[in-house]
Amino acid sequence: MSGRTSYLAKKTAYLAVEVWVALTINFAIPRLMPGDPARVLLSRYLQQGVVFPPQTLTAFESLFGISHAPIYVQYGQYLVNTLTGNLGTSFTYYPASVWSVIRYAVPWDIALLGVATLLSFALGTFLGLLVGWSRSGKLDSSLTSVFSFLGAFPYFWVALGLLYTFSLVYKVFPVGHAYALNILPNFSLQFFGSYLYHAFLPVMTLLLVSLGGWLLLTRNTAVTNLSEDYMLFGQAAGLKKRRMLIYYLGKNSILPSLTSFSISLGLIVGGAILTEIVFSYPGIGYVLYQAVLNDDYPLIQGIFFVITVVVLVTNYIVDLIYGFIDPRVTTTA
Amino acid sequence: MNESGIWLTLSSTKGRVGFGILLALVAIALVSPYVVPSPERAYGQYLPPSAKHLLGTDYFGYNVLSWVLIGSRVSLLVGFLAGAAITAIALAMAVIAGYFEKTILGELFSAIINVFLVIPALPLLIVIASYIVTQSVYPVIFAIVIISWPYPARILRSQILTLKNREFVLADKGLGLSDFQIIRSDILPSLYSIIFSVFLFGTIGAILTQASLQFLGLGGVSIVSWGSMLYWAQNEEALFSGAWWWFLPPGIMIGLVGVALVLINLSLDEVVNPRLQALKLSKKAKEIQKTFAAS
Repeated sequence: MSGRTSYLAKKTAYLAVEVWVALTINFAIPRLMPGDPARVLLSRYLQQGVVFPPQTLTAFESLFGISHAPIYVQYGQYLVNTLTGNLGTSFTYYPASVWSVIRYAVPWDIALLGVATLLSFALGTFLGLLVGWSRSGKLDSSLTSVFSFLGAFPYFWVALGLLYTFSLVYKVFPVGHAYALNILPNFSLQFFGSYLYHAFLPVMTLLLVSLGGWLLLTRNTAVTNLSEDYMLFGQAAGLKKRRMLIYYLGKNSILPSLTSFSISLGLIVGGAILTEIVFSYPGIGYVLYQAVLNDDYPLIQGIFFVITVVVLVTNYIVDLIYGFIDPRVTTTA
Repeated sequence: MNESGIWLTLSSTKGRVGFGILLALVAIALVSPYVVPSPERAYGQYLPPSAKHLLGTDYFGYNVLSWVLIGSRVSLLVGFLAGAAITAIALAMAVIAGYFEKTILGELFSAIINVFLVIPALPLLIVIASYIVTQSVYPVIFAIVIISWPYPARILRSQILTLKNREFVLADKGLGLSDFQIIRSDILPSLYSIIFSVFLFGTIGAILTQASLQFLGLGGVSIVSWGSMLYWAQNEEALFSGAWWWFLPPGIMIGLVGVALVLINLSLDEVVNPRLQALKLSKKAKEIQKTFAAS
């Protein structure tokens, strides 16, 4: 029978294991680290000189849902709760549930990350191809080093510098938020325009962090492909440069970059957290920042879980598409 | 490539510049506590750069130059320690998952690498770091290592997988060398340049990650470091107050470390990767065209 079915089964099994590992990490970290959330919070207050009566610990424990039941009972309860969407109560946004806070933030991430990811993939692979083609040329060495050096600077620092330059000094772009505060989110053209205006700078900074990865990856594949016999033959047969670049080099060099999509996705998600903080963009990264500032452990852990599941499922879909485009992986994998 | 490849990087200009910057920074980290005034001594708030305070003072009245120079200690410590640990763990995982690919242990380790590779690193780090209470930098180093080893492990694993089927390795196997001997005398020497590159990027990554973490307010913001400078600068809205001299230096210093390491890596590439310097394709093609035309 087809390798495609077993490929699908294998990838689905992997997805299940990955989600289980993420769940277990999320369960284990608070219990492995010295001190549970309640004690951590108390010691933070103590460091600031605030002293509580002893029964406060019990109150905090019930707030965090810390139980003293045997560990396997806790684990079972945790799995059931999480898988039924019960991620606990946020106390930054009390009395909202963690899930409702996340649900409100996610659309903004899709709007921001969707655009940034697509743009960075398209631009990055295109530039990578061009650079790989002109290997050892001026374009290659300059673009490759620009992106290598850019990657050496803290991303949020670069983003803050851009925000300062374009929003404070030159006042070309807004200093933050996803849309003008005097417009309500709806499907009007005015709102859409405001969204684009506010998204421009964040998307640009996200491009800066993620473009280099795609560029270098495609460039390296392209450089390897350049020394393949079909390239040599194509050139010897006198094919046009454009045809060689697109149909010979391009087709064979773009596909392998897709396999690195998973890693790049993690990078973009990490970048997005910092972008949203710098630009006060109301996505999940900004909420995570608020949660960190307020020691909101249920929210921090809920966000980690949701981000991880979204990344894992996206990877799974990309893997399936890849298996469809390039049937070789379904037989060899 | 063999061990000498790393020292060959000194034969290229990029390598010499990179090592030069790095040595200067290490010297600063070692000497600064004995030379510059205490970073905890307060002068006037937001004094612009002058002869007395070369980089001005911050919101709290601290001398920015003192913070920048002494802050180098934390970044370099985090970078080199975490870089070394990441390299060691990635290599160990890759050898087991790659060289012993067919054994149960190898398959297990391979699966572990694959699973941890796709779990988003920064969110995981934030979860771990949110439970770190101490103002010490070592738990943070530990956490950074935990989230950073999977990607280099994957790179090393794929290299080992191709290496182990190369003729010289198979020949040694035929001669009856043990697995341990083959790994030590065939596999590892062929990986030196990649291992070194993994160490360089592990170091850059760790420095950037630690700074990001402090920027988020985690991992001890009272530690004197470049990351905590950026956290306080952002917290007190330094840029809105026009105090660019507080915000710019720490980022530039982090970038400088990164640029030095990238330069060393580029020179390493030049020295040990002849494929990148391969014959120009068009030249070869023209020769073939000529032969066809002649016949």
